[in-house]
Amino acid sequence: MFWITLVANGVAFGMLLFLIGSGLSLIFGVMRVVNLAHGSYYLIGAYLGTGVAAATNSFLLGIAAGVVATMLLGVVMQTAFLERFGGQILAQVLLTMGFLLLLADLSLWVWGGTPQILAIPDALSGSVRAGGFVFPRYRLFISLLSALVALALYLVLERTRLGAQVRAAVDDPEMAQGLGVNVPRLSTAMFALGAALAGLAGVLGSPILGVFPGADLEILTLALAVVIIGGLGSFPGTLVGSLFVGLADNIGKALFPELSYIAFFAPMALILAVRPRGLFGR
Amino acid sequence: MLEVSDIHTFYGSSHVLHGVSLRVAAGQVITVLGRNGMGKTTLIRSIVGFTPPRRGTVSFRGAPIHGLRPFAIARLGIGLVPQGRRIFPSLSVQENLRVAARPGRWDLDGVYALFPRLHERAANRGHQLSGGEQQMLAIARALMTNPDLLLLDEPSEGLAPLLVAEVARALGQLRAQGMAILLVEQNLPMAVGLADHAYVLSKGRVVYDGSPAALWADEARKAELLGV
Amino acid sequence: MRWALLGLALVALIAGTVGAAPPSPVVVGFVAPLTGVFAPTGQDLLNGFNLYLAKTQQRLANRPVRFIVEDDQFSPEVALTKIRKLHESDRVHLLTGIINSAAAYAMRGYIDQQAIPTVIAVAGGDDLTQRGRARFLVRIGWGASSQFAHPFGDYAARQLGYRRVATLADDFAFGHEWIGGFQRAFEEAGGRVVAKIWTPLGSADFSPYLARIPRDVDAVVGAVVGPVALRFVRQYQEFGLRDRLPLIGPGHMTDEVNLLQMGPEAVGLVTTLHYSAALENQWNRTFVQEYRARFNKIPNAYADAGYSTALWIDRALQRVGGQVTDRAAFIRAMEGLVVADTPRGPLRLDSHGNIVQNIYIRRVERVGTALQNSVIHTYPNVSQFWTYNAAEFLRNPVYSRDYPPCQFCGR
Ligand SMILES: Nc1ncnc2c1ncn2[C@@H]1O[C@H](COP(=O)(O)OP(=O)(O)O)[C@@H](O)[C@H]1O
Ligand SMILES: [Mg+2]
Repeated sequence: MFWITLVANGVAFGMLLFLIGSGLSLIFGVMRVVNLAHGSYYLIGAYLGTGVAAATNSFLLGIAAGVVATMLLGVVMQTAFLERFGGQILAQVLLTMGFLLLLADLSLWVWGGTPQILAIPDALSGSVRAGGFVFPRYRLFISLLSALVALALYLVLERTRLGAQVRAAVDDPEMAQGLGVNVPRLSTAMFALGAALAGLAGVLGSPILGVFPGADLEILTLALAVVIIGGLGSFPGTLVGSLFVGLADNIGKALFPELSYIAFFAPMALILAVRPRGLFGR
Repeated sequence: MLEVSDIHTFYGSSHVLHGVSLRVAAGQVITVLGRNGMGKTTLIRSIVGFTPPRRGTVSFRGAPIHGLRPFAIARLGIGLVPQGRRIFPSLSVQENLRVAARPGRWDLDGVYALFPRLHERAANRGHQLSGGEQQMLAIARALMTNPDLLLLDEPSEGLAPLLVAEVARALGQLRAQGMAILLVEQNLPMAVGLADHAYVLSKGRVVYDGSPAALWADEARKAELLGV
Repeated sequence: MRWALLGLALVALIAGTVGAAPPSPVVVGFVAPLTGVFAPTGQDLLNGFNLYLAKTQQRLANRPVRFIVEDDQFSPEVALTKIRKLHESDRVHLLTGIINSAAAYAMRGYIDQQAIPTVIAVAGGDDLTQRGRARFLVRIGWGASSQFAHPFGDYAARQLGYRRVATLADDFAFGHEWIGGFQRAFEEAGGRVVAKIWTPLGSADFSPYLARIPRDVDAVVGAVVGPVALRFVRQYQEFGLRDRLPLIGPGHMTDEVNLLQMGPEAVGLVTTLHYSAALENQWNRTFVQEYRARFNKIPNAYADAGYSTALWIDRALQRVGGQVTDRAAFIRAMEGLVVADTPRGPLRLDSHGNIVQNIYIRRVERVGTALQNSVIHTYPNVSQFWTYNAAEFLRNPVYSRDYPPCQFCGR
């Protein structure tokens, strides 16, 4: 029972991390930039989603607000700022770091320091029981929804022409442009999608994790671990990395609470020693 | 169709093209020759907008294109077969073709008919192809954009003679169909066999502008300009 | 010589006029986190203090107050810098506030060396008023961390009848000291602590720790403080533990600010603290009413701490005629002070400068649409030494992660 609960939890948390990691990975793929502001989308999505859901009494509106707002934020960041520094990776990474700090301060100013927690909608609250196994219904919902998002992403990326163009732009952006693919617009779209996924994760995560100053950095650290383990820019890698971090985090905390960070940073170091570009990195 | 006039192109502060001019008329095959490092690839990059010239103009069908972004230039009808092929390694052969596709006379069936080998390899990923197959795919991919002008940068590079002949055959077929082609080559016999007109680049300047056959016949100039 | 005399006369004249002017203000320095994660706590404390000052028209012992507020960002280094500034450039008569125990420990040497009377309003670190108390430090607003754990251990064993419990607490000083105090009193009353689980401070997700709780216990003692307590209590219910194992713990868990955001998962929780907004006495009723009118929310223990600390300082100043010129005398005045009319009940100091106060056992109940901490039992006049002899108590080490040792763990 102990183990079933741990694994179920690890999967739920891992799937949430997948939403964040896949966005980070997508953005890196098309722009070659590790977007340090990615944790900020999580933060802003969570705050906005929590606020709107509380004000309107609608969880769905909360999700919509979080997703749309972070998507717009991503578009503005990418088109008005990052694109001007096209090709200057260092400048772009520094810029994303600036956004990370700026958005953290801005959030503190707007929402204050009190952690907020989004009420679980009635339909999803309570627990599911199977024999002696009790598991929060909401976590089950997160796992399933994220799995659906993962499947949709996979189908779009692997089965459509648009997806092939994205992968082409990841492989060789200049060449893709030389064949008429509007890579700048594609980058903006992927940036928006990545930001929206992180915003979605923020809204979905806030009923269990809450949202508080510093959540952006916590989540960014885990998301970086996910993509480093899985291999930046690789879709299956992100999925495997997310589940790995989710499980290692939960099991590590339960079994070796004093060493809970080592529980996933140690395997991570090991993986990197054997495969410096991550499990699925090229 | 294509008119390059007096362009100067730089990589950072290094000045690579010093006032290059050339033209390609509709239906014409032009070859640009020159030893390694003379600026041929830079010329191609200047035309397609990868490395826009700092001075001079490039116009295509009478309109200037040197300020446009690369994807916009490509969409005007310029197909690129780059040096080193640059196949997308994580895409299958068919996906490599489909990402480039724009409506017109060339479609999947058309390019598979031109290169039957690609049809057999349709489901393979780019990184699983041999050099010859990659070259065919690069040409087919450029054709999928349905260009009016095809730019090829050393398509024979690194290929066995049999495959060079295969590429030459395909280019001959395109030429017969009236496609305008700008062919950068170091393989002199192949270039001379196909081209209506030849330019030779040396250290970023045009040092020969004339008939390919005349160049072929002039052993002294060949040796001087091309080192053969 | 004549000029010198004239000068002297002028000086005397000017000094005389100044002396006749309205009494010079008492300068009070207040240090608390007002930005960052602990900003809300600092703000509640400040609100309470300001409410008292508003009631006295900004006067203490009938002297005008110069009240200087500094933000320590919850950092000991920043706190020390701010305290030096308050002492050296603002020349404060006394210091108050202080939420972070680490900051309080860090400033002990300085306040004794400079002889600055310091009235701690929240910081609970046991040893601030136990082993190595600073001469010029007293603690009014809150009390020592283990002070309200001792009676709760007693209550859990004797009144609630629990024999075996597991504890789950924040892995930092407050958690160690509170659980230590609970364990000692609980085991002395016949109970056994069979598992001690420590969670990193500020944990977002408690599920892995909840999974480790043994199921063969009578109850779970949760000492998770701050806003994350919201998540803790909710997750405790979602994993089906609430149905089987009662959850009890320190009153931070159901702080009035937290209760606003809690629902059915909190109803029935039994907790302990020296305050509840639902306390039935005339001073608390007035306090709650005035606090709500001014700040539009229900006061929590931090708001009471600010208010009671201000009240305490006012009374102590009155005893020395409003003059803090003799600082040791001011500390002695506080040590002899007894105040009956505060929202949380009667207050006095023990021999170590720590508050002696009622400790309340509360249960969360729904009244109308709101949740409140209804008082179900009172331990009157509890000192930090509980029922022990102070000298004997102080011979033990301070409560920690490993003290008292967990002799029944795993059994
Ligand atoms: N990316 C670059 N950065 C700087 N210099 C370059 C770059 N690419 C090519 N060059 C230089 O520009 C000159 C022309 O190169 P290139 O156009 O590739 O010649 P070719 O194609 O004729 O072999 C060479 O001296 C080469 O070293
Ligand atoms: Mg070249």
